[in-house]
Amino acid sequence: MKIDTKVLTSLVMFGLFSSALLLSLWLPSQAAFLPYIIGIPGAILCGFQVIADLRNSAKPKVIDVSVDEVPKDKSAKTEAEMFFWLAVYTVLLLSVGFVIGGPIAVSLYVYFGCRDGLKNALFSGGGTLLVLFGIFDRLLGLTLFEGLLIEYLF
Amino acid sequence: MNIQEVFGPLIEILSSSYLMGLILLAIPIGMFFGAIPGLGGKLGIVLMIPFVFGMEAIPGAVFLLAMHAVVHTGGSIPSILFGVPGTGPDAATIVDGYPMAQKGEAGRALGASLGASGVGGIIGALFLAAMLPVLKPVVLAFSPAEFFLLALFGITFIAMLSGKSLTKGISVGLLGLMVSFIGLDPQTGSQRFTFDQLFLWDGVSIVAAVLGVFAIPEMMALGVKGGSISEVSGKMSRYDMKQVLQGIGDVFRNPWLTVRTSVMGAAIGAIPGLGGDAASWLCYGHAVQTCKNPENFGKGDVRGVIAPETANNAKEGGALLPTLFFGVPGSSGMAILIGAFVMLGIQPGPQMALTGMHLVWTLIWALALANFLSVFVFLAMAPAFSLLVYVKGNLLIPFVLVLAFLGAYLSEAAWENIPLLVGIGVIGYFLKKHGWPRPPFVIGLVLGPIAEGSLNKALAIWGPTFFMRPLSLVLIALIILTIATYIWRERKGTTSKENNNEN
Repeated sequence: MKIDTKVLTSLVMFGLFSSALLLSLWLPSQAAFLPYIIGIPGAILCGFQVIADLRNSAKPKVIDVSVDEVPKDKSAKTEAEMFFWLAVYTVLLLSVGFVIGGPIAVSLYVYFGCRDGLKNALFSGGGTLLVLFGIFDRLLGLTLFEGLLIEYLF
Repeated sequence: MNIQEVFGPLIEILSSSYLMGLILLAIPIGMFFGAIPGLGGKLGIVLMIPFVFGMEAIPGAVFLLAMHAVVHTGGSIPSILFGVPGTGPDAATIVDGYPMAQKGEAGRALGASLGASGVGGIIGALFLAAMLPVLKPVVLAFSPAEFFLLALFGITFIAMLSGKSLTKGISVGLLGLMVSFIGLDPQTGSQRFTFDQLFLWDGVSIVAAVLGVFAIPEMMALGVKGGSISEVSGKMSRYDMKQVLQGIGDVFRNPWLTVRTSVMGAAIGAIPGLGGDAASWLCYGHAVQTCKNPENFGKGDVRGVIAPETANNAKEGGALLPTLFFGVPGSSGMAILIGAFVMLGIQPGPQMALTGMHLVWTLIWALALANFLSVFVFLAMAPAFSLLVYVKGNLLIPFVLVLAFLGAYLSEAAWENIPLLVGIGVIGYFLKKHGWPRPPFVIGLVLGPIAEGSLNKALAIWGPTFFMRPLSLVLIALIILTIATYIWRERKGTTSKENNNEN
């Protein structure tokens, strides 16, 4: 039996329903009514799914040797790399906001993530700045988040 | 219904350069999202949400609807030229469209698809208009008990149709409902699952949740896959404008097929959850069954392009019926559109039949105009759109991610929505990876407040026996029938597989 991401996903779903049910115990009965009605069948269904996934993971896998593995594209990234970039975006946008963080995040992704040239990276960053500041801030008059770090410092 | 109520909004749109400009801007954007395989209308709406912030309700709604209405018009381009569907429902167009392109009739197939999409979309809008007098008394006959059951029916239906596993589909739908309960309880005012966070008092932002469950996982998957968005490697078929005009003429040379499949598409669209795939394939099957020389289908028959394309665009008109009047999205795309409408201050539901008819007529005319004008935009821009399939995914990811973060923040001007977006995005990625359908989550999230409010009212009026009303029993029967149909279909599939293995 192997706990892979498939089983983990089902476990997380089961965990979400179970936690919601547990938290509902401290709610007034009227407020907890629908969470119980929805949470109980949800937890049961996800419980079944966990069992089904665990059973499937225990079965020996048939490997088709007749099919050659399709070579991955050079630009393909691993999941870990994509999660890293998601974290980079989150940290940058939360700390220095959209107008500063957005162009930096895009430039970094193009330069390091896509291994593209510095010129393209700067061009992408400039374009992003133009869209964020030009369209959203100036043209649409929206107030963009300035970043927690900037708010703290100034 | 008076003439002023019906045609007033049309004159308002035609005489407003702002609204006409928005429609003309929305058309190429919608076709762009349709023409790039893997993007589609849902992602199109979520990414355009930041751009409609600050707009008034009607211009914002007109822009988003016009964009969503023409996605399938653009989706037929890669289907015909490369044999790769731009969106799921465009797959039926490949069956005859691609063989036509291989025979040197790519332009004719594109023209037929274009004409059929335009006519289908207009008939879909007219279908919606024609249903309004019938619909009003039906909507008003629904009590809170029926609205609660309708919400459950919508989730069950879309859970069944949007994935291979009903267990996974219903679980995700229930999770969407559970997430919708976050916030202050409408009955007692007590905090529910808010963890003392002020930004959660009004509930989870639908926009942030939709962006998290769709945009982030799609971009993550695109990054992991690498390369161009579609897996197109060959050259595209060449065509000329004379052929395109011949194809448009084919639509009018098959008037009854065009009208029949348009009406069928619109009617299928009106059934919550059936969606575009069902509409296009059912109408394709209908064309094969009812047309002369059915043996030509699959070998490059223009009627095999007309039928699915009319249905694809006509279904949007039908899907607006349950979306606007019952608050039950006709499709997953409409679920996201509801989220955007709510953000714009439009509350779909039965009150729309009483106080929102001006908006309804504006949307009907916007739908019809977008489909009509898309013909001209398509003619002007088709060569450019056909190159979009080669777009490198890596170029899109960084910009789309910024737009997703921006949309989540702007939905409530709360930075807390950014970590929320990332959290939902990570879960959404693994749901996508392991075959958990995501549209039921959005439907559950949107329908949650309607379901809860209706259930509370029904219990207060009739007590626990509220579901014994005749109309309620019909809806309960429909829910049971949906699940029974799924089980029967699965068993039939398993039996036929076993038989094949034995043979």
